[in-house]
Amino acid sequence: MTTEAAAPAPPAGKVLLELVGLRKEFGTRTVNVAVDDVSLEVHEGETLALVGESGCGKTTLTRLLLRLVEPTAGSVRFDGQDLTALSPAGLRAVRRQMQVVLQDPYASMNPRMRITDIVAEPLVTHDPQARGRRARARTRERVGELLEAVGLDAGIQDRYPHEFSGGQRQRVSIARALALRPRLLVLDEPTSALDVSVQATVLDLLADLQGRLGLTYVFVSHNLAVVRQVADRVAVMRRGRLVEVGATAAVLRTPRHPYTRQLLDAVPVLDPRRGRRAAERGSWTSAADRGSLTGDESR
Amino acid sequence: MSIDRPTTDPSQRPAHERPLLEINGLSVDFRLETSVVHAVRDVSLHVRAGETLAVVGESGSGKTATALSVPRLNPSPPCVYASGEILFDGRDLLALSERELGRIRGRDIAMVFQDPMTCLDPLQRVGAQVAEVLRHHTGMSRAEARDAALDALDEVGIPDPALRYRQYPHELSGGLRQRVMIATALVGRPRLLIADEPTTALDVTVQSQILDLLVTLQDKHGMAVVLITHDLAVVAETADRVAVMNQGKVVETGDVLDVFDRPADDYTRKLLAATPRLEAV
Ligand SMILES: Nc1ncnc2c1ncn2[C@@H]1O[C@H](COP(=O)(O)OP(=O)(O)OP(=O)(O)O)[C@@H](O)[C@H]1O
Ligand SMILES: Nc1ncnc2c1ncn2[C@@H]1O[C@H](COP(=O)(O)OP(=O)(O)OP(=O)(O)O)[C@@H](O)[C@H]1O
Ligand SMILES: [Mg+2]
Ligand SMILES: [Mg+2]
Repeated sequence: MTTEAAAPAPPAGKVLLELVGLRKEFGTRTVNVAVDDVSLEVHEGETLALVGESGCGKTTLTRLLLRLVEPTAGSVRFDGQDLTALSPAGLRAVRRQMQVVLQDPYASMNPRMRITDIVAEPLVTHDPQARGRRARARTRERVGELLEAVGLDAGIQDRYPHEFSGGQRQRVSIARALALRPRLLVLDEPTSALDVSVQATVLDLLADLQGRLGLTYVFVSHNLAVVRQVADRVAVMRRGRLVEVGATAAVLRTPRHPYTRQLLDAVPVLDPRRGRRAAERGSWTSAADRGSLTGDESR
Repeated sequence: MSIDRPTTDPSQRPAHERPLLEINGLSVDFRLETSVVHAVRDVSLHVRAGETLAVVGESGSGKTATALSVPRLNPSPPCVYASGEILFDGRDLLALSERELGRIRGRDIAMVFQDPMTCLDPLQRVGAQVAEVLRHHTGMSRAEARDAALDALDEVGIPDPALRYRQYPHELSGGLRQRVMIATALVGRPRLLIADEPTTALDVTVQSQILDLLVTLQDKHGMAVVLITHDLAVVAETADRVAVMNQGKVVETGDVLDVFDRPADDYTRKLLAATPRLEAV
């Protein structure tokens, strides 16, 4: 992540993640190619944004790179190791270095688990020292810190996920993903349920962790203004394929692919005097004033 | 254009100007084992036929709890409607029996939920779920409902609706699921649509298509829309009026142009200032 003023840094670190010819098909009778021949390198310490049409394969691509689903073809290398060739033990060791914030965090939370156990889950799974009764106080303290870092009250630990708002749950999911200090963090629409001021807190936290610990982020987002702010490079996907990859400023300022252009043109603007739908439309109420419509016709 | 006229007594206005939905002094609590969350505190809002009211505000400020109060869908317990009234077409929804409300829900008042999985049945094909709404509310035949459901999927910009019709929710991307939910809400042509973050999983081109669709339905049918969103640019482009919530209260409400030009509340100013922009300013 860079500040807005910084020059678009070329990817500096070594290659942490390497995707080669990835393909994923779904379905048997009618085959749906969700990811189609995607090759991409992600460098240590960079933020790569993945943007594109809804349904173009972004989430599937992130699941492939975490090896949560098996590719139909192609390979994923993390830190030089081929994930598809690893033993279960080897995969477990790599997994602790990769975490994910899912697009739909609520679906991934066990409704009967308390917030404290949800956030501590990766710690308890991967760190023997976090297990057992004696570790409990320390783990709770760590969970409290993580919750506060994402703008939540540390006192909510004994409550259940359904008791929270959409944005509060999304932050619980971010806290959980950060618990292990992963090297690679995949964030699938991580701030879509957050108001802009909480979003800024979360983005600052991510930038700070990256600055101090050299984390690598793959950041899936529909919000191009956020992408502009956080990403070093942008990969644009359409219908399963990468159509454009480049430095953020270059892609957003001088897009090469027509689809990227189309996306940029569709971004809504904050000025209520420009591009207004509400003003352009013939108002229902004024139509009713003219007596041309009655309430009954509206059904 | 709809203009806020808070000083006029609503009962004095002609019928078409009276708000379709009027929430007065609503308070909603969640009574937990050891504590009470005052999620909504004395909230008053209204929206007229054909109009869009945007509700924005802090995460956890009570937007969803307010929205779910209208069709009375907050989980109860722990939810208690502590005070207030919710007038829809002049009738207080909080006072209706479950049966009476059941007839209004999904037909006159439709919801797009913030979390698609709370309304989609994971074990049922998505097309059947859209068709079921129609069969339930209109008594269409199976074949008619199927055709109308396919049209509804097409209308929300889902490519290859016939393929999607047969799929289960887990086979869809986040944005496809969100569009199925929007189709389910719109297929019965509701008079009031309450849409809670309806476009968070959509790319901007599809988002724009959906917002255009809402406007078309507003023009054609006078549908009123309550649009909950974190995206102030969407508010700027789409809403007539906006209400800003913070900590369970409405801290500011007014015409979109007025609120954006002269935000009266500190929190509103903070939101406007913190919005990331695509162009450098
Ligand atoms: N488990 C599955 N079974 C069948 N098809 C699937 C499955 N998961 C995804 N797909 C299909 O793969 C395609 C890509 O979906 P994916 O979720 O990767 O899209 P996306 O880019 O993340 O979209 P969005 O922005 O809407 O979240 C879609 O056509 C989707 O229906
Ligand atoms: N079922 C519940 N039990 C207990 N507390 C709840 C419940 N549902 C919501 N709350 C609390 O009520 C408050 C308001 O929640 P609500 O979901 O209305 O927020 P919101 O404005 O929609 O936020 P977001 O933008 O994050 O979705 C929050 O503090 C939340 O934790
Ligand atoms: Mg997705
Ligand atoms: Mg909400």
